[in-house]
Amino acid sequence: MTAALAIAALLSAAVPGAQVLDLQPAASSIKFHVEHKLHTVEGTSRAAEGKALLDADGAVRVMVRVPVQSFDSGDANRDSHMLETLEAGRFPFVVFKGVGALKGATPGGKPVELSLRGELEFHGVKRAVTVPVTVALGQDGSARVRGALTVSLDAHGVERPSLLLVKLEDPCTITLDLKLGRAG
Amino acid sequence: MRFTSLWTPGALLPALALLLLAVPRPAAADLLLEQRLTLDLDQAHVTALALAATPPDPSLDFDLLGQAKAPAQKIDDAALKRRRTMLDLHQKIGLGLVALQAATTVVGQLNYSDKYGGTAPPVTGRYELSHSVLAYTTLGVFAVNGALALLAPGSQVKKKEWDRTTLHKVGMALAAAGMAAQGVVGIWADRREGYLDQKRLATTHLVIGYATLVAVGVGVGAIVF
Repeated sequence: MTAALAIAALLSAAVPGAQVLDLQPAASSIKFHVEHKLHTVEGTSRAAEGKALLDADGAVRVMVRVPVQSFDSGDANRDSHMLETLEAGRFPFVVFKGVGALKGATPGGKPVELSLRGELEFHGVKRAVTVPVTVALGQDGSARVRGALTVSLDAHGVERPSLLLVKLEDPCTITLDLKLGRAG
Repeated sequence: MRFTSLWTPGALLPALALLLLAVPRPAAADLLLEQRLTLDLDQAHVTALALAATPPDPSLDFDLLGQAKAPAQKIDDAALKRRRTMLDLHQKIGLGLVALQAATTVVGQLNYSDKYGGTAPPVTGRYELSHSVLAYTTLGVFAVNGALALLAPGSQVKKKEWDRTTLHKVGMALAAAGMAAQGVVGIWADRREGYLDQKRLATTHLVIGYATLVAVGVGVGAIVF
């Protein structure tokens, strides 16, 4: 907690007028969506931690980290398989770092589009990604961020599990619905 | 010594330039060269090109979150891998088991019909051996497959929720009970040859057989569908 506060203080001191927003896990969700010929599986995590640094000129830096074991697909056995497939002991987190430029967003105004260019570390493999999101700023200084990206399981070295000798489809869609509030 | 002094940078560069000019160029290279030479280099155009170019991404060399806290639960990857290997094998054997179970039931029904069905056909007994072989094979494969699942390292995700796997386990527990009952009643019926209650025992064995097949169907269906 102290370390996080120190980082937040350092970050806001680094750029004059910078605003630090913390992700509020309970009000946020990160979902994965994968397909098999016979099943569609969706898992949700409400345990992400994240921070966004918004400079006065609209430059945004974002970092989000999700524990792999926090995803719940509604089936303990399947979740256990997921942990094995993603080698959660070796690679316990999915991490996204991105930068972008937020233009035209006003508190209480319409959501604006933001393209976050960055890097996704998933299963220990880092790959460049661009995540299109919409950002709605609240009057209270909060922000609601929604977006989605598709990642290739193969590209991240994930050995896709199979059912009835048929493997899971390669694309994995990740949907974000994040609420951020002023760092306290 | 004199030879070395000839290859000073001052002497080398003009020599290289001459060499490059002497080497014949393909037509495409000439075209490219011409295009480069005829490029309109007025300042406005250069500025527009610079603006249209994708700016390099700002550095991602930052860490807004600091050191991650250790996850709530320690994950044993090796145990999970062993679990997956065993359950993958369990799944493959299970598919074969469904076929075996279905075949045993069909041949069992034929055996029953041969002995007790029809008006008064002679009992041929031609399905007895095949039914016995199939039944014992099914029982053996079921035991091995069950052991694979039971001996696999436990799930590292514990939830008290009703899910597909719970339904699979219930289906297979009923199937295991059915198989045990099948064996007992089947052997008992076989030993009651010539007694009046043999048909009743054989009918019970048949009904349990169908019930066991349904239980297997539920267990497999819970995972597949």
